[in-house]
Amino acid sequence: MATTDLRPRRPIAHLSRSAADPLTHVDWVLLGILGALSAFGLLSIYGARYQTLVSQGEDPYSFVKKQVLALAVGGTLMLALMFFDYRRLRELTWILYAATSGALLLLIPYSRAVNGTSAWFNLGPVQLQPAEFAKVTLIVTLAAVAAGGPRTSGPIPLRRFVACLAVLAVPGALTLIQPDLGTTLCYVAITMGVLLVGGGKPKHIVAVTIVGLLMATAIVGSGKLHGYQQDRLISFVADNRATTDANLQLRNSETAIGLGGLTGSGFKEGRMTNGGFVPVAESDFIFTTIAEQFGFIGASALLLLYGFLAVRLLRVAQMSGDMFGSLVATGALAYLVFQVFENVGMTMGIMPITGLPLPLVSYGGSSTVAFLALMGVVQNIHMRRYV
Amino acid sequence: MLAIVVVSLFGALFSRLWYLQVMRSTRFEQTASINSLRDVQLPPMRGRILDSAGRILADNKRVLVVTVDRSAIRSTTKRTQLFERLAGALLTPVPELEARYKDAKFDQVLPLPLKEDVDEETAAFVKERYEDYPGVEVVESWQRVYRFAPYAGHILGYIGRVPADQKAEYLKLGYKLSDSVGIAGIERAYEPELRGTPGSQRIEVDAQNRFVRVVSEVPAKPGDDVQLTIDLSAQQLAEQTLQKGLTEARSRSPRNEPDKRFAAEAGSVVVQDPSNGRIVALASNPAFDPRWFVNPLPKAKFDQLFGDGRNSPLVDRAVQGEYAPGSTFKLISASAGLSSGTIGADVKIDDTGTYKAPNCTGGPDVCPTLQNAQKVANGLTDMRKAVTVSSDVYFYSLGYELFNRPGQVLQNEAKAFGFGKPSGIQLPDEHAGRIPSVESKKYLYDRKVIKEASYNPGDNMNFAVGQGITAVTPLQLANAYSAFANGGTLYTASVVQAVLVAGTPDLTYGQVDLSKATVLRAIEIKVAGKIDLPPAVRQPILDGLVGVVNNPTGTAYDVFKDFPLDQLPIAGKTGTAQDGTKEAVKDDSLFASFAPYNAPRFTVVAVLENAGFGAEAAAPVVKRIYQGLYAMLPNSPVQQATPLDPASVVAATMAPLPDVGTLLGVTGRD
Repeated sequence: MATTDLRPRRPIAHLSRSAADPLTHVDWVLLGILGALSAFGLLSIYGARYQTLVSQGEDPYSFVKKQVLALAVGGTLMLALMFFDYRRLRELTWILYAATSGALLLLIPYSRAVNGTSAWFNLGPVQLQPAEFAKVTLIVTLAAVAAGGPRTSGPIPLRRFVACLAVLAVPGALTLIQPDLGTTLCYVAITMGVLLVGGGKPKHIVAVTIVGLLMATAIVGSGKLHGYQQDRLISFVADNRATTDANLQLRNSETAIGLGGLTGSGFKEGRMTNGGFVPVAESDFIFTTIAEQFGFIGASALLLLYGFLAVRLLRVAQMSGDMFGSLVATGALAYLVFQVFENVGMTMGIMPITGLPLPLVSYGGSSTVAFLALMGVVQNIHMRRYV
Repeated sequence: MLAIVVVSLFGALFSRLWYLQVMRSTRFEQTASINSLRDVQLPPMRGRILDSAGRILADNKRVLVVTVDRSAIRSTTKRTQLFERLAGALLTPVPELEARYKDAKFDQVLPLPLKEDVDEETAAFVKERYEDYPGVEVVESWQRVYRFAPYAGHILGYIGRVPADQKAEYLKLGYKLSDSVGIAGIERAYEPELRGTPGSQRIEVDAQNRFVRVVSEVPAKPGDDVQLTIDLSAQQLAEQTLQKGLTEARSRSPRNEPDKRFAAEAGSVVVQDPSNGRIVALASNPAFDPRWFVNPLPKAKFDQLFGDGRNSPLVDRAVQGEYAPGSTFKLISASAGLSSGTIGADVKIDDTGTYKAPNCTGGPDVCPTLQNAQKVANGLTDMRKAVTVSSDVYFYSLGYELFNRPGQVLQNEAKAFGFGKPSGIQLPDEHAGRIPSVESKKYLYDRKVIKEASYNPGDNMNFAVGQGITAVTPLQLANAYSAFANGGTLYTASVVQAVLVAGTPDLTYGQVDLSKATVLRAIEIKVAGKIDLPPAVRQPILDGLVGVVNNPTGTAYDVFKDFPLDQLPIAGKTGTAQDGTKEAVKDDSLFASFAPYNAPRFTVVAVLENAGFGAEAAAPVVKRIYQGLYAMLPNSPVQQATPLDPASVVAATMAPLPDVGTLLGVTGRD
């Protein structure tokens, strides 16, 4: 009974992979960059909150532990999505799009019920921020619409161009109501990226840009913006040294970055970021923490990592076997570049202050999980470029 | 084209980063114009604690505190330099400042307080030299003032930093670890009322951490005042008398043992209103001074206070001390015997000085042969005489009879009088005492305190005279005598009368005008139980208690010989509690009493540890307290305390009693 059957169960030939086997085309460089960014994030979150947590008698690892959990969930989702042909994902795209849009819609009565504005659902110990997942479904849906059918080629006709704008309009409007201007702008950037690469006609793009700018001016002029939004914009446009909270946030952030110098003030030893001068130093302003504690060298290393990631995404967009895959990678690239530029830019005073996280580095479960899922899809496109 | 956009965006980020960190960095380091907003918590004024007449026992004063911004002392060299320069100005050694820096109890983000309650000159000195003392500031804060210290220390309790083991609860309630909270006494029991609501201030400060302006402010709401039932003049009298009684007892020797001296290291006094259970005075000795805890304790004082748990002056012996009540317990045994019909008031027992239970089978552990104190033979003894002369033989016999009756008669009577469980007074950590029973013996046996598990006739005999494993607190004893005095109502003892809305104006310096107070919550008088005391039960016992002081055969007759009993008729009972060794020098002296016995106004109980017979030390203390309460002898005036040297490790001295008489009693029988 204890004998082992040594005969192969299947012919050896079956095990040899064809040149097109997706498993032979995993982008290990991409995976490596994602791992490095995640590790950078964990280290910085720990350094940002160490002193305040210790002083309150709490576990200094409490934020790190939650972020590790988010990375584990996101990593699992990413692996699952790698093995699921992205072209079949295209069939599901409308379901996912409807689900995230529905969640954004539900958030409106929910946040009224919990008394105040809220960008997330409180599900016991977990907070779910639907806008982060909507970024991913928006990218996939836009790519599907803009790419058209298998036989379409050439520039995007007006009807499909308008359809793309409609896909943007639903989550865009729902997020603007929250109100979350930063995320809405991120959606716009993604849409513009997809339309540019997907073959939008220049006259359409110019026209829609002009209309968009006019609308934005009207909104700012109408005074319907919330007080803090106006503060942020004013403090961005005119450095008038008024002591609004936004202005102080910005100046303290700039000072913290300045104090970092070339080599940084040392891990956990940021005078500003550990002194309570910089708000949310573990999430929105984590770049300030990195720049103060690790200096120009550390901050540059982080930006270079993002640069490598952008190059990698561009490569996937160029190498993709079909237009849909190419546009998904483009959307992901636009998402990454806009968010990094906006987040890092706001800490240094070249962009207005918004609540956008730094992908994979900022503390935040929804953003981490959603971004890793998107990277799973991109990896999938890379792996299946020959099949 | 996309690549060009990406490259130019990243290029913008890099160049801005280079500009901020490398090109402009040194300029930032020098000018660092970090105007920032700070949220400062405004501490609320803590509620005051008043005596029954409105005297402010616990008050607050505005003080100046020298603090230092933590970012200014994060580097070790800068910190050492600063502390060395400050040590002289603040009269605080460098290691002490360093210890504060390392103490995790202080908030790690907010400025670190270096010295509380500095005088104006020091504050001005530090403020003027801010370039020598970077990051150092002088801020205003509240400090607790105990105006009439050291009196009522055990009742008031004291405040301190949040204790480590209660960190989580206090943080949940919105406290910071650096906040002061009540640790003992009323300060702890009424912490929620006394605390008030902190306010907050958002201020703008510049790079040197200098105040620029107030941006917004939510004022703090002061805590509510707590009015005690304590009368400070009675409290002062009780504490002074107890102190004097203990001091004098230490110079005395037990009878027939001239080479030994009583230790008399501790004791307590309870003065209660028997008509409602309210406490008029509650003294415990050795005393402590609540002012010691207002500022962080020096180590030497800390060790003195906490080093030895049992003898610590922090123990409130009136509610936490557990003593064998000795013969003072005979009141309860007598009531149990008469109420249950076990013995008639007029039945006489021949007291030969020795008692051996008849028809009792068992060894000396089960059926012991027991004697009166000094083996005195009292002859034919009825209930009245048994109480007056304190015949143990009579009560051994009663204890044996009660043992043979079903239904734990004596145990139930003790419970009805409030023994065996905390009385429910508002003071924290009140002890329960112990009623000897099958269960309590098993409890002690299981914990290897005693060797014999079964409850024997001998145990009930000892219980009837308040010995053996019987344990009561002085407060429980007072409650029981009050219940007997008022005809059978056991009240829940109370030390708090009302919670008053903050802001009652002053009548005179150190006393509020109670007529202008607004009562937030009056503390109701609560009845804990009723004891059925028909005249047939109560009268013979009362006659016996009156005889103790009135009848020449009474155990305390000699003590009260010169007392105007016609003006103030007293009923009382001596008690001498033996310790396991039966050494005379280890006897605890007790006296429990109430007066005037026909219309009682006061119940007074005194317990003096290791001080001899009840009539020897405790009865004279009680007598002196009555003399003070009724102004038969002069009382020292109630005065506010002189400032205490904060470094002192000696208890602040009490004013002596103004008369020169001694509290020496008689070494009679008990």
